[in-house]
Amino acid sequence: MQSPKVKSIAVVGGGITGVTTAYALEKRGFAVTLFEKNRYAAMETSFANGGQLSASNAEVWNHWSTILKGLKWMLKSDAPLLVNPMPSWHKLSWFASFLAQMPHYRRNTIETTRLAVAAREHLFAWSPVA
Amino acid sequence: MAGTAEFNGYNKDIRADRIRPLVPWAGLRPMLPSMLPRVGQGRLPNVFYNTGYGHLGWTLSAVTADMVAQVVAGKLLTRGVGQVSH
Repeated sequence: MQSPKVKSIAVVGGGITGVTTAYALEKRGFAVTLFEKNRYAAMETSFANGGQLSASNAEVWNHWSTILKGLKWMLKSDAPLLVNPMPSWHKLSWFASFLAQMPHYRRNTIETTRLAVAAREHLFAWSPVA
Repeated sequence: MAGTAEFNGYNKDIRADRIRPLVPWAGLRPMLPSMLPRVGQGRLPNVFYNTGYGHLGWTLSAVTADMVAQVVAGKLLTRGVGQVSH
């Protein structure tokens, strides 16, 4: 291991992303400090995923069939995914960019799936019982 | 355990009618319009991003953590990249 010029790295956020990033950096010889505002790790977005690794759910949503489903869901208050209809510049520009990504639906879905499969391999490699 | 999602910006308000009778909890799921994560160096030389997973944080983070660590090592190490075998 060569000695790093930058010795210490701050990782902001102790959810699954921050924890895995800190781990990957530490494996490369960096001194890592992980900052988390809550008392314990993974108390917000990482908290309640139900243990799902959704490699088979990697399809991106930039497709007419998904957009139509989303529009129908807007009329149902108990739909699994809702769009707050209050317009804002950020939301409008976001959805415009979202529609502009539709031609890349296939490429982006393949890329997400490739990443998800590679992530599985990393998890197996990191596991002490592997 | 159950979950629903809402496109609602930087907002963790919970609609009571959506969760009753469950215990409330909410987290943000940052997502780019392409739905691909943002992994790599930012505008500042010492700031790196690993974010934008939407609903796929647990699914993708193990590989993107390694990708961003590789980028960090490549940019910040004195000579070459510190290689670590798995």
